[in-house]
Amino acid sequence: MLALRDIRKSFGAVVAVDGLSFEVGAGEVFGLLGPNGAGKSTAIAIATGLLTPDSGSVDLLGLGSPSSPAVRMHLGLAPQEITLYDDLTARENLTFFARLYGVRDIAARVDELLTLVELSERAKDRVSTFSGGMKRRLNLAAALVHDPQLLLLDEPTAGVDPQSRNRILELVRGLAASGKSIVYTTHYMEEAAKICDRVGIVDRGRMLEVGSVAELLARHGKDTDLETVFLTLTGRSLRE
Amino acid sequence: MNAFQRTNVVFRREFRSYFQTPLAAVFLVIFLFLAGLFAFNIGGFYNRNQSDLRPFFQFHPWLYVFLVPAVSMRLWAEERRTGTIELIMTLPFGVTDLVVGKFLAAWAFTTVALALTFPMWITVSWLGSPDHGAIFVAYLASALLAGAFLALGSFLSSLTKNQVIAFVLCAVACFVLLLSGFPAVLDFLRGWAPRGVVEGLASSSALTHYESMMRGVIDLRDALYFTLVIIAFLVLNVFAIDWKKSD
Repeated sequence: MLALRDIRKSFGAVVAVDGLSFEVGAGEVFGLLGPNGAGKSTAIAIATGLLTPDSGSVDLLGLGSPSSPAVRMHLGLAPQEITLYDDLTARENLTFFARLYGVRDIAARVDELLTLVELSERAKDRVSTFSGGMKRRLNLAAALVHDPQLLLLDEPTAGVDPQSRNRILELVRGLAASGKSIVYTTHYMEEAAKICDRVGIVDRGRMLEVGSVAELLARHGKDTDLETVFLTLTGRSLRE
Repeated sequence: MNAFQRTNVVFRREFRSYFQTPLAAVFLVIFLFLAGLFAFNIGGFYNRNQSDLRPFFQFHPWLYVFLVPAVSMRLWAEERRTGTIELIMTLPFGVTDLVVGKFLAAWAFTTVALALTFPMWITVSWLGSPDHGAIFVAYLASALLAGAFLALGSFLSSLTKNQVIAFVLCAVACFVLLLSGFPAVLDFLRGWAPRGVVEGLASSSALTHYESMMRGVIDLRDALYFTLVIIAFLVLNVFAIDWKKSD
């Protein structure tokens, strides 16, 4: 579904991604874990076509690089920042993006998504009146508006309450069960352990280890947990 | 969905957004108030005893220097600040439709402001027998000048996420674009600069072309000048967004 192969990307003297490779299969939730500055967001930006790698290749659905608009039609992005228009209502936001994507039967699709993220009752309210959790759920709905095959979710639960977080996690699992591939970045290890089929631990632009959570735990000792594995691999020193 | 439809979607969303904030009301009130104040108090609208709108139109370039940046500053800087640019850049088409849609919405908004000055036209028609063709061309010149400044402002707005910086950059750039054709500047240059330089500077000035049209004559060179300025800055706008897409 998505394959990043030997990706390298530098910004001046800073090497952000250094030979990163991973693949995500159909219906799989792939967790991309790493400390701040590890290269996760750069990898996501490369996977969406926002950045062009210095070397290496990205392939989406066997169609080629997402730098091509036709290929981008198959991916949905929920960035780390809330990417909604505060002056529009929930319905207007989704309708705007649905129109740009050329979605057919926009009203039905928007209704379906509002129901999915449990915002039907607030459909006519401006986003500026929403809580952080509601905005996150709507942000996820905006990424789904054109029914993409691949979803890139960059810390989709950052700053939300446990109820919204739980709903988002349920949604992600549900989407994967329906066959969508998901790349999921997070700082919450228990979240990754709960919903990811496989995780990749990244630091300094390199993939340190990849596998299912069970495989990672087995490699590092039975009595450990994902957070301990993460700290063992990336170190305990504080990052900028 | 074709490019025209996408441009239309962006145009409608942007145009509507002006009226969902106090910006529209503030802009319209200030523009109408200052346009009237300059025409009647400084331009001597009544004292001239001539049935034309020259005192009204001659101050438009200077009004636009700080009013147009107030409209253009948010076009892209706001998308950068809120992060919506990231989602926009992953849409399955190029950024040209978005640039054109946003620009047209801003231009339509300033044209609405300009159209609301129609009582001036009615007044001068009631007081005398003006050349309606000349007034129409002057309105056209004013709209084209606003369009050129908006295209410049849209480009500058795409370079930053700070709306204040976008405003200042645009105001200075518009001022320079006008000043290069200001008689005092050209007279100063004539004393020592080569004739070709002075003429080149004068012909590149928005003020020269605006004043030429304001007299009521449509010269193809003037219309072409404004059209080219608009196109050039919109093209630069597209490149700038693509260049800074990952910021």
